[in-house]
Amino acid sequence: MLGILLTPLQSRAAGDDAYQADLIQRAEALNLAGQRAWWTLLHYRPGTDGARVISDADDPRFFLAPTGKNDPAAELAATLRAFFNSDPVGGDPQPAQCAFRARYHWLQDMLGFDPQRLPEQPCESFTQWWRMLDVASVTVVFASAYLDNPASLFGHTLLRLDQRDQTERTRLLAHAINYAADDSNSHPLLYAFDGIAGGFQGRFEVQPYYKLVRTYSDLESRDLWEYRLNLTPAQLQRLLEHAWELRDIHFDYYFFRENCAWQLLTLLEAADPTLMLSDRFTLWTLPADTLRLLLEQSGLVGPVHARPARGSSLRRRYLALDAGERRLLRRLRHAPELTLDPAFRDRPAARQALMLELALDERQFRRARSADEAGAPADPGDQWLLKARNRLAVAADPVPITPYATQPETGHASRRLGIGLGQGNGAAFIELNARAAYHDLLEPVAGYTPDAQIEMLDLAVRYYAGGPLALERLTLLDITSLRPFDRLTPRPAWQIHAGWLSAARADCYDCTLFHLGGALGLAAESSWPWRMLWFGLPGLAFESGATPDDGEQAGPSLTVGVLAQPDANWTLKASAFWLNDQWGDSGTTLRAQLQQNLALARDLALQTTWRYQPGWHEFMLGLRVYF
Amino acid sequence: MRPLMNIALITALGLVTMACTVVTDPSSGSSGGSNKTSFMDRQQQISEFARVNLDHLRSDMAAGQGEYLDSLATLLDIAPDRQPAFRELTRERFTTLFPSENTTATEMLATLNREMQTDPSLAQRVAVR
Repeated sequence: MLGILLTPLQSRAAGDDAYQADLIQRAEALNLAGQRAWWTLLHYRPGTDGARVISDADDPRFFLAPTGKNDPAAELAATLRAFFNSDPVGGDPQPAQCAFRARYHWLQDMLGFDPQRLPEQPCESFTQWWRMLDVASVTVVFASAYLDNPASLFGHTLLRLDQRDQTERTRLLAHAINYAADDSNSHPLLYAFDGIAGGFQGRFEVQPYYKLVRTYSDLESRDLWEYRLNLTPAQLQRLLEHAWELRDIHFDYYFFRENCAWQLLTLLEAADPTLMLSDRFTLWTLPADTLRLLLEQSGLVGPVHARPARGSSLRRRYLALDAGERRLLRRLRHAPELTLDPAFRDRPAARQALMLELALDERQFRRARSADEAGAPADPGDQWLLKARNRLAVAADPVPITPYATQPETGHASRRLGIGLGQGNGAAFIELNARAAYHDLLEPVAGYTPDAQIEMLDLAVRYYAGGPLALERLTLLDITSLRPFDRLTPRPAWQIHAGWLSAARADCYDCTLFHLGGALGLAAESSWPWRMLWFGLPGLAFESGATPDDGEQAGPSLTVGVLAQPDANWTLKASAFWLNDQWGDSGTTLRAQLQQNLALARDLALQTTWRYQPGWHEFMLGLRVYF
Repeated sequence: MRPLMNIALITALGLVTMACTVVTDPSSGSSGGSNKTSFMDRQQQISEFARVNLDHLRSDMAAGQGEYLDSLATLLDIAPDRQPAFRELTRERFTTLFPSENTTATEMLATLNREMQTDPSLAQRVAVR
């Protein structure tokens, strides 16, 4: 008791000033402020002009020196000084030794503090937090793309803190560190701008894993892939201590690069400063690319585990039913009294249990998605089904449930370069193309969400023999979701596209037009002779010619097509686009194309295209590499 | 038409650039509740787990099995060799635990506590409030 009372007084004793100066001098002699470990803990990186140093943390409470954001040495000296007193500092104010646990322990390791001259202070709230988390290992969790929310197009990663004695059956009880942007204060019109320019504040949040499973798997129906990391106990301790330092500390959030996936890398670098991860990404960071990078580090990634989304589980079980059971199920979910019907009761108990559980899950899924305030109460129908399920004292017939989104790192890399040779209206050309991200319908589905296309910044230019250099296309954004219709959980197929397209014709090889369109329709799959995906997408489109006399067109449009997949590495696609120029200057437009893509290796593909549009037909053979 | 086109372009670009923000689920308590959830004691953890996952627990208890039921048993500190008995108890007493569709998590936990007292084999160390 006396000791605790005396601590603040001791800190002003004259002897400590000498020890402070001694420590700071030794830190300078060892150049601790220049070491990578210190840089990772403070999130320093070289500034854009080369000489200056800057920290990515944008919260003044994260620094103890006024110049801490740009001066590692000043920050280190200020940190050492702060360890001598118990003034509250940091995002969750408390003495510096407690607020900055990872810094304290690293400096202690480097300098060997004399406990007589720099007494260690008790950090009760940290100890309590540490005990509650009780971490034995960490796991990177990848949530697959969620097309219905633009914020989730490329997937998401978070870090799960697995507890001692946990099994896969009780992983829900783990905690997780999730880096998220606080976008609640943003005006919808400024949302996009804020996202690019860093107008949002990002924070690391520690939450129970079951809440994240609820959001991602139950509500958004995203398959989760879990990658156990092999960290040493010392690395694990540093990771947690650093996560503690970061509580409530905000960072400017940039969707392109400094997003969730990138920030997780900085956290892992703090745990193990020998890892060089975050500087591998210069312009943008996609969650799947960060996973690939982690898997390249030898011995870092351990066992992988899948957690299929609620939607995947519903669909797999529904498809495992026979035709009669499917009919029963579709009636059962709206009319629970059907459980009394002999048509239902005559089925084997394990099949009844399967249908009842499926009907209950589907009702919960529907309710949770439609509720403003999720967690809407159950209704009498649920209760009826639950009681019926309860009376069957058997386990439901087991159905193997695998995610639809396959392991993200097994897919082709997200950037693409291509070269092609072809003929347009008889004139030979060579084409070069490059795409920033991410995946199109023709590419092998491994690692990506099936039947979904997300393309951004796809550029192609052509050189016609003896003729002009022509822009073939510049896609700003294309999102196509062709989720096949099923009667249990019917969802529409849809597409949006913005970008420039070739409008080549006999008298104008380098004509282009700007296209903006959206469509909403249906997709359906069939399995003969291969997997075929048929789609029809009525919509609205606006097109504007490159030259003033081409004018502008707008009106209802229709896209129809079929995708055939004879093999995992071979896909064919036929599609036609028709635009009725209701509100514009010229007649209707029709474009049709036939494409095939053959993946020769994971990151190499051969593609052929045949295309027709009024006054123009072309054929091209191309090679594509992914990197 | 040009200004319209520009707006559309900016919107499209904005859509492109968004990676991995989080949609907060209003049911799962406060958003950004890192500090609140950081310091829950075991009682609060049990209540919070049951509140957020009541739908799952209802289904799991009716069937007498499931991931959410196993997790609740672990939170209640029921020894692994007693967990089959616990699962069986929740299945047998399902209609007592959930007498109606309006049963709340708190009510269910209170009933569960009473039911577990009557079963000497389920000597759990954490009492449910």
